[in-house]
Amino acid sequence: MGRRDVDLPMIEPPATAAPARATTPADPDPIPLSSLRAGSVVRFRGTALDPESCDLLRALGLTRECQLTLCKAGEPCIVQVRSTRIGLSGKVADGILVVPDTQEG
Amino acid sequence: MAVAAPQTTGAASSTVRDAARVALIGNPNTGKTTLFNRLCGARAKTSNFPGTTTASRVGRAALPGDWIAEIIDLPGLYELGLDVPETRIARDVLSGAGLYRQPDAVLVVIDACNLTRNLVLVGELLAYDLPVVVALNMIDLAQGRGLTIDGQKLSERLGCPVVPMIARRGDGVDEVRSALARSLGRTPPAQAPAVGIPGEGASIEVLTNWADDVMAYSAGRPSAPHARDPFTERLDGVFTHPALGLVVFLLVMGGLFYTLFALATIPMDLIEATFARLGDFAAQVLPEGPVRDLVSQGIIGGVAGTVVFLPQICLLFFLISLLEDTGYLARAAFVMDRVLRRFGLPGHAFVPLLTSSACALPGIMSTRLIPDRRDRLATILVAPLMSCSARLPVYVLLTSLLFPRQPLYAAACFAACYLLGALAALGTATLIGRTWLRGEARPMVLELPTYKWPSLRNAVFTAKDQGLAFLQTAGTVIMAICIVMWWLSAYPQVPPPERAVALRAQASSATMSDAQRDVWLAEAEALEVKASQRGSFAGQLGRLAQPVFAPLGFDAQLTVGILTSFLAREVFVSTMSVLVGGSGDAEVDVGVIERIRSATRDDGTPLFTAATSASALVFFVLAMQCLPTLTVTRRETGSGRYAFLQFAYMSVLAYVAALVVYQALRAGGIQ
Repeated sequence: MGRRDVDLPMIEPPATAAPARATTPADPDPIPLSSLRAGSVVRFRGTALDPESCDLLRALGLTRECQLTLCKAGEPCIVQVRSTRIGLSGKVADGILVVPDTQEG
Repeated sequence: MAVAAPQTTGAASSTVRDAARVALIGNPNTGKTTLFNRLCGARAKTSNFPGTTTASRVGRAALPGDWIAEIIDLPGLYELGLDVPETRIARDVLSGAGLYRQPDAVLVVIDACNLTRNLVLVGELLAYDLPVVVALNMIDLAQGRGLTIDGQKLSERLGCPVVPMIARRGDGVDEVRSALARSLGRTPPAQAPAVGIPGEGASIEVLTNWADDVMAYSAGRPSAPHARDPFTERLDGVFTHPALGLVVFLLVMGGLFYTLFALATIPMDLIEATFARLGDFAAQVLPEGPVRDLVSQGIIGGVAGTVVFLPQICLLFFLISLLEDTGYLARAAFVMDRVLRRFGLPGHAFVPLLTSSACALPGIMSTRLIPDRRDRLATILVAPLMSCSARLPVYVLLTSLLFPRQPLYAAACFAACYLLGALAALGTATLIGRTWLRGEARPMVLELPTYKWPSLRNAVFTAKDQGLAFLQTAGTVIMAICIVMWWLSAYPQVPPPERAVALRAQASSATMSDAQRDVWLAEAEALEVKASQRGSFAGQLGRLAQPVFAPLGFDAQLTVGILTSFLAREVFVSTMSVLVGGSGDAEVDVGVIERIRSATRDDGTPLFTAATSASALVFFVLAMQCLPTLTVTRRETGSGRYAFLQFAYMSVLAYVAALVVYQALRAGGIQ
């Protein structure tokens, strides 16, 4: 098995780096980015990816609770984080966990 | 245009104007290279950072106040905390660690369209306690998107000078020079230092929140993730579409390679003709002897063998630079990623693999586009299996020998050679991914840069830099190899055979026609060359190695042809032509093919049977017979180990495949 085949645990910032906005018991469960349709606006919760991809995504602006827009679904998946457009292979989109953005609009 | 900015601390302006050192840094796709070219012009030098294979460019820029700044162009990076080679180099340069001298100032280029993300890097740089100048680039594109950034406010929050600019047009470059000179002069600060800047070691989350805050203050509003550009959306929809994207990709790559082939052949032919004349001239003016042979054949031939690759390398990098500037290459990488990922290669590998179909040298050099080292190594190792143009004359010769007067079969066989090479490359990539370089290609995560017009100036400088880098590093080694190979095939010199002496004596008598004399002289020359080849070290080596190649159906003559073609494959045709009694003309014409077809072995049997031709063809498709390629592999990987590995597995693969083909055909009754 190659180094990127491993089912890596979800990599998240430590609990102390909690989201700024308050969470409630009704907070929805995170879902893969790849399961959404184009045009969805969501918040980033974490990843189930290899550490290198994780670091690169963070450097590109995918920090916890940031808002992102799904510009194109499928392969590749294109998202916009702030003003940055990022192309993601389907495998990466599967490993990005998001929740619907309730503050949208 | 420059914003009056707070100055850095306090030493009095020096009257001594030594060359100051400035580190140029920024995210990828921010126009950093464009600004570097504007500041330094064509005088930049390209090399690698010490002990690495990461390219470094250093240039000199004249600044106001008689300052001369040595500008070091650091690799494009998103943040300094990432654990990748480029980031480690940047950290070492900024802190003056190891072999590096700490810079006197930092010039950071940021993209006005992507302010928040770019400010994360600025926040990290401000912690280094070095004078920082911020070049706020692409303000025209930002304004086109309705985003106006107040440079004065940005400067206040950053505590350093900010120069709004459009590097592509050269707007703001003079102001950057002035701001740099002021920072290097360390004039007293004009205002209080900025507050709230995250300290050293701040997390990416803290830096991003700070950057969001600075963005909101400077632009009057926060980043808007919903603000999507319809033009970009439409183009991305086409360029990354599973079917349309592939069609566009094929058209773009077809255009690129047609241009490469059509345009590069003109200077290449010119170079070859020029060096041939130069060799003739040297042979005429120098007295006969080993020095004349060394200069006219060894040195001039060696230089020609190096310089002839330049047009392809320069033109390819010129075209790639144009494509990269437009923003299209990032989209194309995703289109090819679907195909190449199955074989353990990244989408980025398409340019190196396609380029290797022209020549493996620029192909391997273009793997610099691939960010991940494992993916880059995998691509470098398999790229020479793609059939390059140097294999063409060999394919023409051997397919013609295999299918005489059957052009359709010969054409199909010719195409099969290309297919075999491509399949071998993909198969080897899969194998490498499961053995030496375990793992799949890294899943693609790529910033999709803003679409924009390419910069011709950048493309010209890139082509020049890559051409010079090739000549300075690989070129010198290639020339040395050419000279050694010439020596091995020219020495020891043997006396002319008796028949040749007799023919020359007959030709010197006055009682014959000029046509007859020319025939005899040509025959004498062919016999002399043949004897020289057989008596040379290369010839002796061929006879010594013949038992190894005997199971493949090769006799001593063919073995010499194979061994000499380890310098370059195309040498095979001229060597065989010489060995079977013709001239050393490398052109594959009907006369050469017929002469080689009718050539015999020492026992009188045909030199090229169907089984031998097929075996030799498969050998040439798969073998690593290009020393310049090995040199470039060593240089690009930073280790001779990979060059050796490449040579070893390709040679073993070629040998085994040729052995299987030869023995299977023989077992099937085909001689």
